[in-house]
This record gives sequence, structure tokens and C-alpha cells, in this order.
Amino acid sequence: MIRLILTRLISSVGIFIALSILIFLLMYLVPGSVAVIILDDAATPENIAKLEAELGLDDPLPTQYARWIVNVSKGDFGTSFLNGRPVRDDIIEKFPVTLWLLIGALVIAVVFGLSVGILASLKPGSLLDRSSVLLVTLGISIPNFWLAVLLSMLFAVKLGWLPVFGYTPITEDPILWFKSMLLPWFSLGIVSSTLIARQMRGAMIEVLNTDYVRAARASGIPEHWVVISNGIKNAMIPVITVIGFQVPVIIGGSLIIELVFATPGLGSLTIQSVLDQDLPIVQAVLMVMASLVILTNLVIDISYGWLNPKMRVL
Amino acid sequence: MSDTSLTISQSIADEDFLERPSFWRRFSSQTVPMIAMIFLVILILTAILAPWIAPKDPLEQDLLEVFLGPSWEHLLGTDNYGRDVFSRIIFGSRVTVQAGLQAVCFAIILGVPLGLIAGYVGGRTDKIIMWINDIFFILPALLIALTAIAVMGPGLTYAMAAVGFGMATRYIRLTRGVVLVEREKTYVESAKVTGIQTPIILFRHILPNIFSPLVVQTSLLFGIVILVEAALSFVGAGAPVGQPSWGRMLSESRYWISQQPFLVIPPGLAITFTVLALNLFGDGLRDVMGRKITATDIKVQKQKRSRSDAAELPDEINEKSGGSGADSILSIRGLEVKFPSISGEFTVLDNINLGIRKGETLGLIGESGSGKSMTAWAVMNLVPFPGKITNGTVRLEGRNLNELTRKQMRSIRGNKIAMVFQDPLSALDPVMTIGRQICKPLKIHKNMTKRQARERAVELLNLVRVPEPHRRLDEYPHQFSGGMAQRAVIARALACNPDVLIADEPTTALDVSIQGQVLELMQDIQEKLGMAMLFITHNLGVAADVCHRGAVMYAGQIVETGKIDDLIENPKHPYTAALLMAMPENVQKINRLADIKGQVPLPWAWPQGCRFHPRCEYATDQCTKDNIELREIAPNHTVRCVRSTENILGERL
Amino acid sequence: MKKKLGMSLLTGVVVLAMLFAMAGPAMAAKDTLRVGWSVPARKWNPHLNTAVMLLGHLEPVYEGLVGEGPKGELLPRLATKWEQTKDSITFTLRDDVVFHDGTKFDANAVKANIADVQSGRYPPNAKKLIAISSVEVIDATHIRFHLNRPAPSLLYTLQRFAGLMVSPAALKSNSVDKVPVGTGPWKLDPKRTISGTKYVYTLNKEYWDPSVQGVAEIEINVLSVEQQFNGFASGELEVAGLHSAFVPRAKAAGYKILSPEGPHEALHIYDRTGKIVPELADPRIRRALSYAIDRKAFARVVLQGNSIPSTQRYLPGSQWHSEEIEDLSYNLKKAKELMAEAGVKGFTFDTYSQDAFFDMMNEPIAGMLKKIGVTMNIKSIPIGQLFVAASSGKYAASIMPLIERHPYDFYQAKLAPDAFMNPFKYEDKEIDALAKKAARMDEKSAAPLWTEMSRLAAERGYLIHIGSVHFAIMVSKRAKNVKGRSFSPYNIFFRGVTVE
Ligand code: SF4
Repeated sequence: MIRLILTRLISSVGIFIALSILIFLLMYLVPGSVAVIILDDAATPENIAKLEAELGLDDPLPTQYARWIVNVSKGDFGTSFLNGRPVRDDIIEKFPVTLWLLIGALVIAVVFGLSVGILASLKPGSLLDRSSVLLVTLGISIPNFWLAVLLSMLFAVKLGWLPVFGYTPITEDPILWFKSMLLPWFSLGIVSSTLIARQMRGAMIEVLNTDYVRAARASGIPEHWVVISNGIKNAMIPVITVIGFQVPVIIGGSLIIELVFATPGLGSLTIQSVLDQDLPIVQAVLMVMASLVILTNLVIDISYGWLNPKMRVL
Repeated sequence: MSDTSLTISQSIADEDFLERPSFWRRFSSQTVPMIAMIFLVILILTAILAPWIAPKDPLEQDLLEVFLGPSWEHLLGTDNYGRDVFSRIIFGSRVTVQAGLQAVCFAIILGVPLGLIAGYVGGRTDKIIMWINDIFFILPALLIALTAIAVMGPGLTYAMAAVGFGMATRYIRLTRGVVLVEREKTYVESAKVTGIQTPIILFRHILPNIFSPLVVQTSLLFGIVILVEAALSFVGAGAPVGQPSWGRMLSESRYWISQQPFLVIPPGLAITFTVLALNLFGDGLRDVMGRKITATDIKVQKQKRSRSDAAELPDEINEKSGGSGADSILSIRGLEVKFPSISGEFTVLDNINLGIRKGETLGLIGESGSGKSMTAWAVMNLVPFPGKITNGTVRLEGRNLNELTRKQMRSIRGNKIAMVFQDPLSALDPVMTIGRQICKPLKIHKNMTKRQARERAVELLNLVRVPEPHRRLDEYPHQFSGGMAQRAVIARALACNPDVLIADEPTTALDVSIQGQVLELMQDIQEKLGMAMLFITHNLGVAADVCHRGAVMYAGQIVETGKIDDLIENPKHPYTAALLMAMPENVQKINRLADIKGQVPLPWAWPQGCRFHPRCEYATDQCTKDNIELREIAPNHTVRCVRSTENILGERL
Repeated sequence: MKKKLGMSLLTGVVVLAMLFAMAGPAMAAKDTLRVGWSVPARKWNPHLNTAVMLLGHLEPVYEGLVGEGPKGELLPRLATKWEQTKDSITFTLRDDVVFHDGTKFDANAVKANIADVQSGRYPPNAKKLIAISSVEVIDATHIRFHLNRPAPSLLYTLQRFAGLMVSPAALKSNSVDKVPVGTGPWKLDPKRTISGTKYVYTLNKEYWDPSVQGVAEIEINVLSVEQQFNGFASGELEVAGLHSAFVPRAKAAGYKILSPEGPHEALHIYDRTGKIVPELADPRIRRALSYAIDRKAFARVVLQGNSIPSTQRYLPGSQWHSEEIEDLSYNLKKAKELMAEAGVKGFTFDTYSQDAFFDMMNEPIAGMLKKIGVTMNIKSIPIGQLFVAASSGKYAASIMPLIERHPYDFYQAKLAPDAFMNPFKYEDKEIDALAKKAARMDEKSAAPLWTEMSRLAAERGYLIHIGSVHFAIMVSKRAKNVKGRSFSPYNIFFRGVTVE
């Protein structure tokens, strides 16, 4: 087990470093010079030359990378091109929001995904199963931003149950916070839940058709115990990977969903920064999101080993 | 998504022995994917022919006719500048198809060669490529696209190239997986020997094999790309202003909800339907390919071992009088099992009659597909969904099991009747310790405490001769060898001192060297404990060693019953005789390959008359007419064959 | 049992659904003015901004020497009075004003601010103050700007970005990059502000004129149109700027609408030399473009009547309005004739757009030009690069607002050979001569010359005028005394507004 964790850890760190190099290089892929973006309407040739020297753009790339990564490891992502604010402030302010969004959406995705998947798998071919299959396929195909718009039209505007936009920090008012997060959670969670449901259903059907499940039934073990203890536990092994895949899916979705609900997280920050070409923020967001995904992959790999005894002995 | 579970027809379609119709025939028989494909073809034609199909110029505005509802002139109404929405949707397909093609082509051009190299060259190159691959797998496609826009400025071209770049990883995995499989195949090796150069091997042999999975992958990825394009255009970073793009139309339509709410519908549906069609098409295609090679399958480990008979399908039997009636501890009378299907029900077990006395071992003999295992499941009242026992009784010590409640039946299973399976490793739950699996029935049926159950488990492992029982109870199945695992399974079955033990091919999956030991063990235990045993096997030789009496099954019916010695020395049914000749010892003895030609027909394809007649060397016209009854030709010897009295088999052995 | 399991799963779903339903409608806080805004704040130093859309975030915090009335008129603000001569302006300053950081406002503070603008860090604003050759501090409450050239519109310039006063201490320490420090009636609360999304301003208790502080707090939320409507519907907003196209929707929902006079928009033809689009060098073709634009339909349908169509820079009533100007209004037949006369079937040029509101200007105009065979390709550019794009020389033409109100500024920005927005350095000697001559005359006698200049610019097709495009402001019933601000889309005055 320890060896498993160690090897996964090392490869994660390797991937992280490689990714950080790519993210660093973004600044140099800009056609022309970043100075033009920074200066915006103030981009005169003199100003550009002055700024380029100031930014140290003349140094050799490895030096610049070293400088950058050292700063990043201290949490210093530089300052926004646009308003000169330290990027770190933005990230610290917005990361918790996105993290909560991710956690809530993941909880919804897992709860609904597993329930629907399991219920559907218990009676394959039944009405419930067929309608769940239909829903799942539809869920994968509907653009989540359309879903978000429709949900907010219904629950916030028509019914007035939930705030239409915005965000109340959990420290300010936990109930308002919960309400302001519900629609984004569902908009993000539903699509992922369909993916999980689909996988869970398949895995459950496969597991419930195995000999050991028949054997358990043939031993007179109650069906609910068979489903939970043999069925779900075994089916979870492939599904846990799929749940892990949902982290990048939800992060990708949050980019647009946050915009629809004006949730002040990394997603709306990303879209705004992309439209503004505010590269330091884009870089920081990429680093944070990549770390998040790498970290969950690590956790998934380890829990995979924990769930699957075969991996444990390694 | 049409993998509507293991419905019977599908799992059968998976079997290789069925003559496979052409790929296209198999695909076109699926309704939903066909509709999806037709939709996609229409979509592509629409994109190509947009200027000729669209009734209006998509940019032609008429400020006097804004926000019109659907009408004959404007099928989907007009938008805020009086432009024809229908024409805009039609032209919008161009943006969608073009963006999708850009990304996917880029991904294929990049991914497939890299995957080929990684898979074929292997070693360090492979490692490096796969490692770089992992890096790109981290980031969501939309984020990659947005990053490209942040660097290069708004517009779809760079964004789609970036998405393609990110998606190349999927093709690398896919191609590499296929290459790894194909590389091992001998024809590649032999091609090497005959001196064909490497790249030619790659292209001649491997590319055709990845074509189908490539199409599946592409159609699924295309769906993702379309969603990314729509999302980019939705936030205003994608398709330029004015250009009819579905994402852009959807985004803008939100502004006019109060004036013309209908505007939200066409672009949303266009996106949804297109992605839906791509997903359904891809899924359908994958189903047709038997889900054999997809990127995920290669990575995700599955515990796929040989399937037991039961998982495969209906076995079956029938019979008239399997032996004495009254003194049987287990007696089966007129048992019939049917499965529903689209074209009505079909019978899987047809009037089975069997009986086993205390201390007796009855062999149930037949090829796979004959209905042996189904008989066992029917005894347990565990016929796989959606099958049903439609007739007959199963009595245990005179109690009709079919009339018991679910709870009562459960108290019989594992307690009065227990089962041993063909493949011990698949009959044991891989994520549960052996100890828990043996103890659970004890706790349920005997109300034992944890301690008591464990003590009993140790006792049982001793009984089945598993060394170091204390330690082994805490181990997982994968830590057991096949033979040891089967002993554990037997121990579990014996846990509650059952009256009847059903052993379904208990040695078939084991090493030859161990088979003998396990058989011996089972015989010993049966003698020691005096229980009745239903021993299922395809091997008459094994049956001869273990059983007192035998019943031979074919196509859901019992075709011959009798003392085991009679069956072996004096078989009266040509099928029994054929089984006899297929035994390895006999094959050697008569020095010729005595395989029975053909296969057991499937339940809906049972022939009229004698079900064995298509394979029977002795078939006559009469054999094809009426149903043939089981006849007693000697005391305790029944046969279902019109020619049973003619000594047709006399000179065979 | 399967049923049991199903039940327990169902229970989970029901509980979640109940949590969902429990959430009631959101409450509105009193005494807070909640505003919907379409863009986030950029730099907190007002001297580094020019886009009027960015005025809103600065408005509660900053004041200039000269204030601005609803029609753009000059009002005393930090200066109680001023006196302009040919080569100087002298201000008398208030003596009771303190910046949010405690620094006293006086003549030296003004001097530091002018120096900050003139440092050239941000050329668009530095250029606006180019006429100020030096600043003379007379005493703490008197200051004089010496001028080196005619500056007929300098006082108007001082109403906005370049003229807003920042605490000199904050300028020096650069802390203004993070938090704005002005003299205004409200100050930013950095703790509750979520940058890019929500800006919270609290009462400045030291403010010199408490009578304008109608609300204790101002909240500016960055929202899309959709969210603004939703916010109004659920009572979460009091004021939001709106594109005129949405006026019917707002009216249907029963909200009050203000439509202050908007900026003047025109299709600027940069490539008058025909360098990248040869057709545009032909004056007949440029005029054909003008005839192709149905300004009335545009005003009526797209802008819902919230606009004044015009084929020249200055509207009737202005001293610079021309009565003699040729008819350049919509005439499709004439446009086609001119195209045929020039021997051109059609051509294509690129232009740009940065957001939904520019899209709504560009798209319908593109549709109109299409009818005479001219294709206007609209490219997306990053937000904030409008002026960079205009002056880049990459685009032959684009629709832009004319924010300069005085003809002199108009000439300086768009027509002069070295004008910022004349990237192809096109020179019209007649117009140059007129402008140079008028600049040296007094306002009254210069007027006919300016009228002549703007008429020529229109008739020669340097600018294809579209008209004054009004923007709307949507006001909820709770908000009182809300006044729109001319020539500044979406902006209102926060002073004096009360809620409930
Ligand atoms: S009935 Fe005819 S076909 Fe059937 S086994 Fe006997 S001889 Fe063969």
C-alpha cells in the first residue's frame, strides 16, 4: 500500500512540474508581446519597451521559469495585467467558492448517480431502468448552461424559491449560502450524476450477474445485504474511477455555470480573465485547477487500492 | 445506451458460436442508433448544402418583421433582426460541423501516429508519450479551449486546435491499446519474419483494426467538441458576431425571452439532438462491436474470468422419472422454466423429473447449454431475471419449495440446500475475506455469534483440508489457489450441514492435478455427512467416479436416465453415446477425434421432433415428427429416442 | 430486500428535495442601493481609465474639481468657482474636504493629481490634459492651470477620469492600485467586496455634504442582462443600466425607465487612403455606405425608438448643427447607383466588436450594408482594446462612439493627420485649415467654422454617422430620485438617490 502511494505521489509530482512548465510558457505564446496586452490603450512603443525590460522578459527562459515557479510556490502569481491587483488575492478570495461548488456538485452527482444507477440495475429492462437510461443519455447531451438557464428560470424567477444570482459567504449566513449554492450545485451535479449513474448501472448489472452474487443468494443471504455488500462494494471499484473523472468535468462545467449564476468563483474569474487576456490570472487558475485534479486523481488511485484488496498487497 | 442490460437476446448475440452477420447488418438491426445515424447524415448534408437548402440568407435582416412566431414562411420564426431562424439553424450546422471536424481531425492526425509509435516501439518512447498524455488528461477540454483564447485572442480556430490537441490523448490511448493487442498476434510476427518493413506492418494490419473503435471514439468526442464550441460561443469567445452559430444563438436568445421565448428552443434543441445523436450512434456502434476494444476497457481492470454456465444462459432438462419417488429427499416433478422475449415466451426447461435419495449422488450430465445449471437454479428458486418457473414442483422432504414465501425460501438456501460452483475464484467475492464469506450463512441460518461462526469456519476449513485455517480466514480470494479456493467454497456450502448439495461442475475450472483431490474430498464428505448430492457435469467420466445414478440432458429435456454404470456401459441414447466418446480417455482409446459436431441449439431454435436429430447420426424421418416421450426400456433406465430399442449403438464401443 | 434499499435511496432524494424547497425568497436590505452593472472595475486609479462603462465603480468614491449635471453641465464640486482666460484657468477650492485616508484636500493635492495624469503612464488621459503647460499653487485653496493652446473643453474633461482627485498619499504609495482613495460620499469596503463580481461601498462619515448621501450603502453587482432582469424580478436590484433593445421587456415588467441622451455613434472610415480596402478610397462608395444605412429603422426596431438618428455629428439645437448638409439619409436606390457608378459590385472589410452591446450595434448595420453587397466581418476582440484596435491600422472601419463633445476635440481625436484614431494618417487640407483657424478664435465666431468642418467630414464620408444612441436605465419602484447621466451609457448619479 505504501509503495502504491509513493509511486503515485512521485508520478503526480512529475505531472505537476511538466504542467507548470506548459502553463509558464503560455506567456510566451502570445502573438506579439504581453506588454501590449498589459498596456492596453496605453501601448506606445516606448511604454512597451520600458515594460518589457521591467518584466524581465529579456532573461533566458529557464531563469524566468525558475523565478516564476519559486514565486508561485510562495503563492505569488504576479499581478493582474488589468488592475495591478496581486493575483493571489483573487485566488484566495475565489477558490473557496469554487471548492464548495465542486464538493456540493460532487455530492449531488454521487448521491443521485449511485441511487439511480443502483435502482436501475436491480431490474434491468424495467420501466424505471429504461427511463433512467433515457434520462442519462439526455443528461449527457444537454448543454449544462442551457440546463442552468432553464433551472434558474423555473426555481428562481418563476417560483422565487432561490436567489437568482450571487453568493453569500458561509460565514455571513449559512442558510443564504446554502440557498445561493443550490442551483449551481444541481446544474453541475445533474450532468455528472448521469455519467455516474450510467457507469454504476453497468457495473452493478455486471456484478449482480457474477457467480459470487449468485453464490451469496444461494447461501440464503438476504437480497438487500447481497446488493449492498457484494453488489455495491464490487461495483464501486470501477465506478470510483468514473467519480474521479467527474472532478475535471465539474471544474470544466463550473466555468460556464458560475457565469450563469454570477457565482464569484474561479470559473467566472476565468471567463472574465480570458476575455480580458489577463494571463497571470489564467495561469494561476490553471495551476490551481490542475493541482485540484491531480490531487483528486491521487486520492482516487489510493482509494481504489483501498477498495480493491488485490491492490492492497502491493 | 442500448445496452439494456443482459437481456437474453443480447448476451446470446455476444456468443461467438452464433454465426455472425455482417457488421452492417448487425448495426442496422438496432433501431435507435440507426435513427441517430440517419440524423447525423442529414446534419452533414445540411451543413454542406446549407446555401441550397436554407430558404433565406441567414444574414438577411428585415427590421419590419422581427420576433415573428413560426409560420409557413418562417418555419421557426424570426429573430430580433427579423432574420429567418430556420435558415440560421441550417447555417449554424456549418459552424458546428466545421468546429467539430477541426478539433477531431487535429486530434486524429496527432493522436493516431503517436499511439502507433507508443504501442509499436514500446519501451521508453512509449513511457514518455504516455506520460505526456497523462498531463493533458488532467485539464477539461473547455479549459484548454479557453486558455487558447486567452493567449491567441477570441475566435474558434485556435480554440478548436487546442481542444484537438487535448483530445489527441484519447486517440493515443486508443491506438496504443489496439496496437498492443495486435502486436502480440502472430500475423504481425510472421509478417516481420517474411521481411515486410515495420511501417507497412503497422498500416496493413493495425489500421484496419482500429477503424471501428476510432469511429466510436470520434463520434463520442465530436459530441464533446460541439458542447465546447457552444459553450465558447455562449460566453462570447467563440463564433464571431453575426455568424449563425447555435451556441451564439442560444446565448442571444436569452435576451429576448419576454419578446419571443420560442427563440431559446431551436438552438438548444439543435445542440442537444446533435450531441444525443452522436452519443447514441457511438454507443450503438460499440454495442455492435461487442464492446471489445475501447480506450476505457483497456485501462480499467475487470475481473473477467471464464463465465460459469449459468451466466451464459439457459441450461435445461426434462425427464419422466428420474428415480424412485417417495423416498427422495429432493424431488422435482414436471418442472418448466420459461423466458419472456419480444417474440413471446420460450421454454428453457421442459418437464423435468428428478429425484435424489439421502446419501445418493445424482449426476446431471450434458453439454453447456443443455439446461443443467438452469435446473440447479430452478431448484434454488433463483431462476435469473426475467425467467420464471411456469410449471412443476420442487419438493424438499415433501415440502413444496415453490409455495414458500421469499423469507422461507431464503432459510432453505445455504441451509438445507447448498451449492458449489464451477469456478471457485469467481464464486467468491473478491473484496470480502474468506472468513466473512463462510461465516455469513452461519450467522443468518444458525444465529451464531461472530466467535461461534469463526470457530465453526475453522472447523470447516479443517474438514476440507485447508492448512492454517486461522490465518487463511482473514485472507482474500485472490490469495488462494484454485484448488484451495474450491475447498473454501465447499466449506461455505457445508457450513450449515445441508441436506442437499448441488455441485455445478465443481472441478472443471481446476488444474487437472487438483481435480482428483477435490472429487475425492467431495465423495468423502458426502459419505461422512450422508447428504444428497446433485452433481452437474459435462464429463461422463467424472460422473462415473462420483455418482450413483445419472440423468443426461439435452436441449432442456432429460434424454436418458439410469444407474451410472448402465449409462456408461450400455448407453441407449445416441447423445449419451456421443458424450461417452468425447471423453478424453475414449478419444485416445479409439484413436480418433470424436467430437460431437455442432452445438446445442438455443431455446428458441429447438427443432421439431427429437431435439437431437440435426446432430444425430441415426436420425430417421420419424425422428423429425412428433415429440418423443421418455420411455422405460429396462428397470431404472429411461430413454427418449425412437430407436432406443433397436440396438443401433451396440457395436460402437 | 430490493424494496428496502429502494426506499432508503428514495428517502435520500426526498430529503434533498425538501432542503431544496425550504429555501424561501431572498430578503432585501433597506438603505442599500443595489446596482446591476455589466463590467467589473479595472484600475482603481481613475487616471488609468477612459471607458465610460468604468465610471460607475469610481463614481461613489471620487470627485473632481468640477461636477457634472444630468445634461453634462458644469457644476461646482471640489472647486467652488473658477475663471477661464485665454491662457489659464484659476480655481477656488473647498477648504473642508478630507480624503478617505485622512489626507487633507488642498491645492498641492490637485497639483499631485495633474502630475499623475501627465506622467504619461496612460497616454489617452495624458493627451486630454496636453493643454496644461504648468500648474501654479497660489495658496492652499487657490490653484491656476497655465494653458499652452486653446482648450475649449478642458473643464468638461475634468468632470471625469483625468480630473478626479486621488489622495496624494495613496498615489505616492501606489496603494490606490488596490483600494480607491478619494473624497467622495462613499468609500469602498474592501472586505465585503468580491473583485470582479460585487463592489460594496459604505458611508463616508466625514463627507462635506451629507445631504447627498441618500443611502448608507451602495452595492454594484457585475451581472449579465439576464441576471439583471432576474434580479429585478426577485427584488434583488434597484437600478441597472440597459441596452435600449431591452426597454420593452423592462416596461412590460412594469419598471421605470430613464433614457438620458446617449453617446453619438458613427461608422468611422479609417482607410480613406484605400490601403487595405481599396474601394474605401472612393468617396462615392463611402457615401453609398451612408445611403445604405436605414437609421430610422435601426432606431425604431433595434433601439426601440430610444435614439435620435442623425447623418451629422451635431443634433439640431446645437450651435454646431449644420442646416446646409446634403441629404445622406437612407436611400437604397441611390446607394446602389453610386456603387454601380464606381464600378464596384461589392467588397468585404473587417471590423470588431467586444461585447454583446457592440454586437447589437454592429450586427444590424452589417445586415444593412449586406443589401448593397458590402460584407462587414465582425471579429471579436478582448474587452478593453477598442481604442487599440481602432488605432491599430488593422481595421479599415469600425463603429465607435464619439466621446469628444467639442469640435476641437473631435478634430484632434479623429480628423487631424496625427490623430489617435486616424491610423492611416489621412490628411484633408481643407478640414485642417478650418480647424486650425477656428481654434484660435473665440467660441462664438468659431462656431460657423466648426459647423463647416463637421459637415465636410460627414459629406466626404470620413464618418458615417448613425446618431445619438440612448441607453436606458431600469429603476425599481423602491429607488427614488435616480437621475441618468448623459453621454455615459448605463451611468447614473448616486448622489441624492434614496431607497424606499
Ligand atoms: S430419436 Fe432419432 S434423432 Fe433422436 S436420438 Fe433417437 S435416433 Fe437420434
